[in-house]
Amino acid sequence: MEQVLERLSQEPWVRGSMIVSNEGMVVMDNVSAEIDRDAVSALASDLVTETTSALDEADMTAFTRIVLTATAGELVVVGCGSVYLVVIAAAGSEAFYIEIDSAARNLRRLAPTASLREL
Amino acid sequence: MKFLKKLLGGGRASNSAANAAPQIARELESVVAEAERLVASGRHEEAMHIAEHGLQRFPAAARLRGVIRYVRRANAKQRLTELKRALEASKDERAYRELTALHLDLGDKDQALEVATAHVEEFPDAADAHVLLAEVFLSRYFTELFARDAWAAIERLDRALELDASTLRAHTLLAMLYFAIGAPRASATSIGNTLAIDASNFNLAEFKDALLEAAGPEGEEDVEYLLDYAQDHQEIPNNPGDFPGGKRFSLEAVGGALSPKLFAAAAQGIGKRLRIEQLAAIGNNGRPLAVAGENKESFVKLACHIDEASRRAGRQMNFGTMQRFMVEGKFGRVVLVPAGNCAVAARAPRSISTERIAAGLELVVTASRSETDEGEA
Repeated sequence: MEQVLERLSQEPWVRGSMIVSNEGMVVMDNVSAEIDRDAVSALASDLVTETTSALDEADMTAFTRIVLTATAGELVVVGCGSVYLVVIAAAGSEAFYIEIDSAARNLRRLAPTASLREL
Repeated sequence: MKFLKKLLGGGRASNSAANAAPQIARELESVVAEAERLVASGRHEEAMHIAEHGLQRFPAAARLRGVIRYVRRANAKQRLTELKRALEASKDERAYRELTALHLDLGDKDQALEVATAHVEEFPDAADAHVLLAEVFLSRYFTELFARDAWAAIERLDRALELDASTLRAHTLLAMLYFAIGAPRASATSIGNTLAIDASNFNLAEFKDALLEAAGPEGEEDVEYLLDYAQDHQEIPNNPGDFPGGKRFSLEAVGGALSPKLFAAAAQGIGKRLRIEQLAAIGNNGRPLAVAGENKESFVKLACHIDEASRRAGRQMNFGTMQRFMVEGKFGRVVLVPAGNCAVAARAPRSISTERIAAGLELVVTASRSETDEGEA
């Protein structure tokens, strides 16, 4: 898992990434010290909860990806089994999404079988 | 959240975006940045100046309009305090009028209603006070379309005319209301009353002729039925902003001059091309303005929820202006984009890119706006 985040952080667009549990806890991160991990994970957790409940109410299935795009960057949340991959990035491109999807696939392989303690 | 701003506002992202953007976008960004910088440093008048000049060059720039709205609001709030103090000192009719108008400009209808009601109580024989209270009720009516507000406005206008039959504004407001709810003959009658007092208003005279021409054969116009219909369907056939002198009501009416009928028509044409299945427009107050496609109710709820969630997240992230919010799953792709005084959301298959959906949404909004909205800028 650490390697997945490490590889992602090599991408020039990526400013930080973390794995957040369904409960909103940071499981692992690869961000600089000046980033408030708790604040970002709380934000991602809020977004996930709100969106999931809105989709539920509309009788729609769970989401696989959320992208919030602003003028200065993006927040991407990808569902990976029992955890979410959260990426904070500069304005992205298709190549960027390919990298994120690849990281998410790797996490999906690990997350469903690994308990939080094992991570 | 300074850490995020620092993190995301970094050189690499800004530079690459700027290099890719066309010259005009860079120019606009620089004007907007300067205006916002001046606002942030409290130099409101200069910010206003920059924004107004910028709008001449970029008339569709929502962020520049935002700067102007912000500065106007800030100035209005200061004036509000002064007027409240003045009214505490003495019950001045002019102060009541100005305070009501300011509350309306700030979008605070409850406060406006309170002040306008106090105005009527203090000066029950002043026709103007009743007209102003009617304006507040109308302003609320054109936002929420509750029949009781329209009836309250009619009652106040009738009272104003009892007190002074030559109150032009009362006749005009009645004409505008009847026009908006789809009673052209009643509207033409009220316009006739206005023209009997002031025959020089050629705009109104022409408008009256057009109304009578469009009204068709004689027939009963049931105002009560029309008001109930508007309330039940949350829709009125005409935008009051299209009535001569009715512009101040246009921004709120039927959702910020975004016509549900035009929206539905545009959604049908543009949506079909992009395989958009559902579309909804949400006002800045979180109320649905228009919706098209299947399962309207559930989609509009979803759009309202994600609009609220994305706005909150955008504020918390503090990393510039939100451009779009996208959520995808087996249901396809739902994209929400802010569009001036509203946000629009659409659901399309995942084979359609977010960029194409967002571009389609912008086209739908443009096609749904009345000319009065552009004039307001």
